[in-house]
Amino acid sequence: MRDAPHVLWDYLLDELGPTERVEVEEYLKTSDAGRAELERLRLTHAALLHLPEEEIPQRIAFVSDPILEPSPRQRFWRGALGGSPLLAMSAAAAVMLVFFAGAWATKPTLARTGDGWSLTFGASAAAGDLEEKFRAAIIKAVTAADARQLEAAAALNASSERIDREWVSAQIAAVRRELAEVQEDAAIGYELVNAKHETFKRQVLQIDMASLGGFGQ
Amino acid sequence: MIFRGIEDRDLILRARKGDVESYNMLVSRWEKRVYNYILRVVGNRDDALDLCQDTFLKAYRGIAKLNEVERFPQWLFRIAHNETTSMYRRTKPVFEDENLDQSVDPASLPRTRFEGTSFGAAELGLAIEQALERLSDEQRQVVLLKVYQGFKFDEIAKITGCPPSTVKSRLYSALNALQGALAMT
Repeated sequence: MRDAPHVLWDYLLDELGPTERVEVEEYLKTSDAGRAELERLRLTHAALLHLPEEEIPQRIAFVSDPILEPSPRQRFWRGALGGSPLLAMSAAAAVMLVFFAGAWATKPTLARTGDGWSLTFGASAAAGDLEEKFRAAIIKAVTAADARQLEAAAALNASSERIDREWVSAQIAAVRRELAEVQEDAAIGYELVNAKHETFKRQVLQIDMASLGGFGQ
Repeated sequence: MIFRGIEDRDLILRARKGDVESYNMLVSRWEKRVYNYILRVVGNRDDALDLCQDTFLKAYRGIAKLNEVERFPQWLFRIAHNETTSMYRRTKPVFEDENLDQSVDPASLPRTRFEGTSFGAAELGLAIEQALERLSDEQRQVVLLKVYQGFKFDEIAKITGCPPSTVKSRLYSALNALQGALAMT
């Protein structure tokens, strides 16, 4: 046979088509050397399968989607409200917005006084008022951002705890199902063994009876 | 006998829709096989665990693009193979690559005789480990994928990215070397 050792490996490793398998089987019927070679290959293959498998030292598991991969909408809001640099930027933007809105609402006017020019912001634009408005706007913006961050963190924690509980429950349920199947299999096995045992006892009894009968005769 | 209530196919389909628990179940079914494959290739438990984690992370990211669900094992092992190869490229000295594909002379391998009762399973396992380590990386990968993972030649060709004829020649020379090393009689 052409290239016999490789064909025999292919035969052993189930890599041949139906026609080739038949050809090899025909060859093996007539060739002692072929059968001996196949037996050697079979022994090598069987020996290789004795390589022990190791347990993975640490199980691999992934956490749930909503935490790692939020939807685009969630990603936008979380990004806009959650991160520290973005938090500072949003607070600053809010302050600027209040400043410009306030400036526009109070209509600044430039007027000439006796000893120079003066800038006034409408009737209520005293310097003290403006500073007070700044302070209030900053406090309001930072407080709102803090509240949103706390709210987001609480939602994240709640989500994580819920997922952990669900995962553990699912694992417990899976183990229980497997245990039930094992118990069922064990029960079937036990019944089979009992039935065999009974049969065996009957056979022994019959043999005993037969031997006693023979002895009596 | 315990039967699997849910087939891999169902788990893959659920994982593709973003069901992480289904993916975790899939991982629990395949992690030992993938870990052992990588471990035998790289020969280091820490690296093997890292690469195994990377493999499953990449698989998770890419599972939505897996069109043929039935080809999940080949696809997963291709990722594992690529991860392993990438690590080799990062860490192995270049001059070693020149010898990657050369066949191993059986005479250069330690000879170990085992015949039934005189050779225990643990000793046999150790002898096989040593014989495998003496193969080139490519030969060892092919042996692992064929003998221990049961892939077909054309599947191994896709996993390793080389022609089936190359896979066959690597396997035959590796098996020849292993047969010589184990001194079958």
